[in-house]
Amino acid sequence: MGQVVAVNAVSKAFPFEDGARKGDRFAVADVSFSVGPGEVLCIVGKTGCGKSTLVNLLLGLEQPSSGEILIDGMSPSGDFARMRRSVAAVFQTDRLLPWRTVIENAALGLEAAGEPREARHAAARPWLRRVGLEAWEDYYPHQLSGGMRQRVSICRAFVLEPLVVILDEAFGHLDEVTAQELRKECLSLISETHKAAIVVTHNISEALDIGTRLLVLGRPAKVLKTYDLSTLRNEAGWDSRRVALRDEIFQVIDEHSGL
Amino acid sequence: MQMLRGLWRQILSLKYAAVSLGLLLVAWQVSSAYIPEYIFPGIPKVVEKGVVLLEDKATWMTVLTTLQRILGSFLLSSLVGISLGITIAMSTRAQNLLMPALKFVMGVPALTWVLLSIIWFRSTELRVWFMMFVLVFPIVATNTYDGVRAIPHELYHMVRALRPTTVGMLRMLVIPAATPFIFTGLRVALSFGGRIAVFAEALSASTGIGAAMYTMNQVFDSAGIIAWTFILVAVLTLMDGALGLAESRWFRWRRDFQG
Repeated sequence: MGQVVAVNAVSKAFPFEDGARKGDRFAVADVSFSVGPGEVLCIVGKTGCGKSTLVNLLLGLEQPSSGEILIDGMSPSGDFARMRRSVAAVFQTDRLLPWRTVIENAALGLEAAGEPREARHAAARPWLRRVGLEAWEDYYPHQLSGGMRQRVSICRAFVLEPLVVILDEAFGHLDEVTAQELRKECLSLISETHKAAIVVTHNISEALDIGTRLLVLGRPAKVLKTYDLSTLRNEAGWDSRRVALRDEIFQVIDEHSGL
Repeated sequence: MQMLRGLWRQILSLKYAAVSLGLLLVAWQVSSAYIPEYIFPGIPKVVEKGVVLLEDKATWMTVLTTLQRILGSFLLSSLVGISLGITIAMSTRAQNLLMPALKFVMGVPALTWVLLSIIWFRSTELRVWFMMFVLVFPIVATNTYDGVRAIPHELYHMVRALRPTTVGMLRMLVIPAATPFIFTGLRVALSFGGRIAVFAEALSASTGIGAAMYTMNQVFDSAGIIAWTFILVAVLTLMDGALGLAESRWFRWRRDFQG
């Protein structure tokens, strides 16, 4: 199985100046992982451990200081225009454009790719139907509930039919019931379309439930431990193992994140 | 019920406006009784003068001349101001290069521009256009700049991750997000620019409302100056109303905005 995402020894440092002290502060340190189609890689770590920097690197919004990221063999920051439609993200907040209707927001990525209006709306409609928003396509974001808005932003990602979907704390902002619902919908979309998924979260239980693999990050973001959840889940006694695992991960994060 | 209450509030506010304007008119009429007419004429005298003016075809030509100058220069200032504001907001290099110059231009007193433009340009049109332009485009530019800088980082990242072209970025995010600020700038620019234009006409032209007012000044015709002022205010109010209409058309999307 070919890897869609390959992250090889990636570090990201930001220069800082604090009086006489000057140097580089690492947000991401020597991180490596790969994700194949149909895999759901969960990344957990404390707030401020550099998870969002990692997401920005994957989206090509930042360049790694060292190491290499390849998505479908291309560098997200290097091949900026060519990588259009390869990666899509769902963020913690919906980040919808308030002056655009639901369908225009859902089709935004296709607009960026230069698709004509008719074509992009036609492409967005099935996804809106899939999340139960077909009757709302001409409404504006402020007329929708928080859960509905996040559904639109999920559509915005899937409409692109990307190779990789990144969920960056995508359900952290919602009430638990809505979050549970959307999590389910999102996962079935991912498995149906056989995408590679990277789920960034600080919710360890969530990660244990939905991941095929789990990466525990310390601060700065470096890989402390990896768990092969798809194998573990098929072993006998998973339910009790799950509880122990959760405590173990808590401990790993706590020991290594300093402060 | 709510609509009725809204209507009532509107009537109330109109009532207040009528009272305050009425008081002003009374004060005017009373004080004019104690001051010689050629210095401070009463209301009937000004109305009489206004009617004479409005019946004269030449008045309308004069209004048209000024209107065309204001509109032309306003359009030019808007175009330059909006493009400049976006450019310096989006590029650090452009900002470093152009911001000091813009600040300098804004610091130069209006009088300097007025006096210099009379020396620099022989054409009346150029003089008026230049004076209004040089005083007005910085207003539009700084408002546009503020508008672009106020775009939330999260939205910017979201759109950037969709990898649009620069034009796409402008069309999808930057311009619509900055539009409320741009409208504010345009409305200030128009009312300020309109007053600058007649000022410039009075000092450097032989046609237009400003020049007509200056002629009245030469013959101690205060009633004429005041009557012309009312015509000018009416013209500027109409133009501002047109801008307001355009603004509310753009804001259709948040007609029932609650937050």
